Amino acid sequence: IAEIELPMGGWPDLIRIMLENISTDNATLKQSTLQAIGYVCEATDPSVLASQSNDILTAVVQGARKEEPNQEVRLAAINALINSLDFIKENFEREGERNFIMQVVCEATQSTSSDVQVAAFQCLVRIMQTYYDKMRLYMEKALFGLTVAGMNNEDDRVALQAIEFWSTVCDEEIDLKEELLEAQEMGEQPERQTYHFAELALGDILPVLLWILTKQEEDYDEDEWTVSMASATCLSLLAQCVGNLVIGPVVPFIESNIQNENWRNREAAVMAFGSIMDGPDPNVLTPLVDQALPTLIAMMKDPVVHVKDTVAWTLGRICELLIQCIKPEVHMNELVSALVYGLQDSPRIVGNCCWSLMNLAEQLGPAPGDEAPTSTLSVFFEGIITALLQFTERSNNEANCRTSAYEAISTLAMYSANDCINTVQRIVLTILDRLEVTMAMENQILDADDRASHSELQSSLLGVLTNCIRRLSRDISQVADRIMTVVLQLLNNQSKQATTTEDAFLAIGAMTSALEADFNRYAELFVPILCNALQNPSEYQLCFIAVGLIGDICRALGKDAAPYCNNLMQLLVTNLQSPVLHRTVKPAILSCFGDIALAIGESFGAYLDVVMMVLQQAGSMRAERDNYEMIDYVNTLYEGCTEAYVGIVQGLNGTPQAQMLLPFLPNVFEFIRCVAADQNGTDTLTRSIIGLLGDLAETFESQLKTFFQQDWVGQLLRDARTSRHYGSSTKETSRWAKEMIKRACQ
Amino acid sequence: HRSPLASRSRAETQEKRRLEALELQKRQRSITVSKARQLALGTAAEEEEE
Repeated sequence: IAEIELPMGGWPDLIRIMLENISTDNATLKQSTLQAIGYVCEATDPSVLASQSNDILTAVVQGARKEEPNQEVRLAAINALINSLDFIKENFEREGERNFIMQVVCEATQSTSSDVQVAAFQCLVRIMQTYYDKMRLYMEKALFGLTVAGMNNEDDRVALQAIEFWSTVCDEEIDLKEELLEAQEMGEQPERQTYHFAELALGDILPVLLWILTKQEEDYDEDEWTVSMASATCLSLLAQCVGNLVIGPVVPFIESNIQNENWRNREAAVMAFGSIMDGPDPNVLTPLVDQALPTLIAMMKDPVVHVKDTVAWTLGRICELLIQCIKPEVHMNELVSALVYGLQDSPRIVGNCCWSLMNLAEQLGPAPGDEAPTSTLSVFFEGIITALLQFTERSNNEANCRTSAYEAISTLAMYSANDCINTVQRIVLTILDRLEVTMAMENQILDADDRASHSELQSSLLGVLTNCIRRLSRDISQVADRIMTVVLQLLNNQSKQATTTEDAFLAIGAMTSALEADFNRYAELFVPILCNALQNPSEYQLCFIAVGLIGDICRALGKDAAPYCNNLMQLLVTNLQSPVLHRTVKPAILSCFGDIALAIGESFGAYLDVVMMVLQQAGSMRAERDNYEMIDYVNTLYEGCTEAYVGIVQGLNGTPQAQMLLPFLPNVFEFIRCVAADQNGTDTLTRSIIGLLGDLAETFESQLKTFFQQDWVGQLLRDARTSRHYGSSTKETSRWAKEMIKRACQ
Repeated sequence: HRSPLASRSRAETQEKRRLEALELQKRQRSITVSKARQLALGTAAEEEEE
């Protein structure tokens, strides 16, 4: 109720009543009221409560002090304090008040009640997240010691929060490191300073973290968050934070434990190794990985499932981050065999093996679009795919293992070299067989769970199919009829879920790019389905994909898309004006106008009045200062507008209809000028508007001479070529536009 | 530790596919537009040479 009433100025005496309750001797009333304050603070916008922050804070801190005899009251007070941290910024700025709050929280970590200790450490985590800049003194005086002791606490809940405290320190310092790098790149000073708490504490916290790594739970399938998991996460963050410094203390632990007869020590050693793969210099890690790889690969046959799981994950990390360590002639055979063998293990191990195989493919195969006759993985490709296809025949998806296997197939197909094309074609046929089977099973679906699992399987199959189509490109035409029959049949099934339609649309998008003009023979059957999707703006993600698909179809069909455009344009304009449609789709609709114009050329003249009016409206949107979400959105909207203008200008170029654009051009130039002057503009947006200027010059030549001779045009082009804020692509576009404008103005 | 594959929800997988498609569309749009621009530069240059 407070969340609704307080921002509207209602319930003015709420806080006063609660504060009165706290000042009574009734412990139950105090505890309940503190809980209520906690909830109110959690739910209400901090600015609404800011004017009462002093009173709330005094009451809450009063209840949290060590002098409070009732530990339940103290617990409620600390929880309320956690929720108040966002609106007591001013109090935290004042040293005296800050010292008092910190003293109360630190003392609470020493309470006799574990619940109070847990809450106190939680509070320290939130304080570190919110007020890192103010923590230097308290870290030196108290927090180092308290949190290390907390990690050693026999109550796991306390230890978990103490570990979380150091994970938070690392998170903050990783962010600060990034901010520093960004500032250096821009030649500026960073706004905030780092105090290197993680580096300073390394000697104290690393031994405890490594010891906690060996405290794994016995039950492998349990999904509970444990101290050993928290410790591994903290170690990973520490490695990212301090880099090479983590290696020295961790390597002796790995060496002395990796072949220990106790599985806990073996697993902890491998976990420690996997956790430090990201952060230190790859050149320093490489010899260590070289040395460990044969042992790790052999450990995929460890008798304990827990160990194998962590080994598979560590191999995945190596494949992802340090691929140069995997020597094709030395390790590949053993590695791939171990990973394929792992597909017969428990579902979690399968998940990690699939991820490792996927990483191998991404790192070793040719990038999508870059043809390569062969790759290091080619010789193993057929075997891996056969094993994965065999594995995916299973009916259950425990621990996401079947989805993981399909994702791996998808990636392997995408990154395959030319000598694997036959196998990719075989994947397509198998996937089509399986899709047909799923459709035949539609009427055997009994309940919602069945429906969800069925739909998830269809999504996985369509995902693989889409990537195979993208990879095979023109070669897909031999089975195009079969693909389109299956996908259209799927789309015409009334009981399907929206996500299935999305995946089917993505597959069709891939077909348009692969078949190009030959897609025309399916257009008549498919476009009505596309129109249906556009008529349901509440399913906005489907609408988003549908809008993108119109662009795909236009690029594929060119002028042959014209017969469908009346209908599609009407739906796009309606959607643009719809208050129901999520705003993220709207910039995509604008870009889509450009795609249509580019495809149908002069026929776009029929839509020019409406579209130019809509673009002018969208281009006049402004974001408030400091509203970063809106600034991002308006930038996306401007990009959509620019893409539309580019498509229209290029599409009409060389046609008699181009002259129809002339009356609108003063507004277009005003739009470009505003975007150019906007301090929030991105590199991409600047590149787009400069490209548009060049297109206008090329299309209208001397007709626009006076526009091009305005000072801001030259200034914009010069800035883009010389400022280090812009990338090479923007600089190149600017050189091109300069040349086009020079020719137009001659 | 679980692989990102195993811990990814269905909605996240879907989002990833959507973004991949969007990225491809952007790339294709950019290729089409760039081709036209290169052509403009070339054609104009040829005209000048003539």
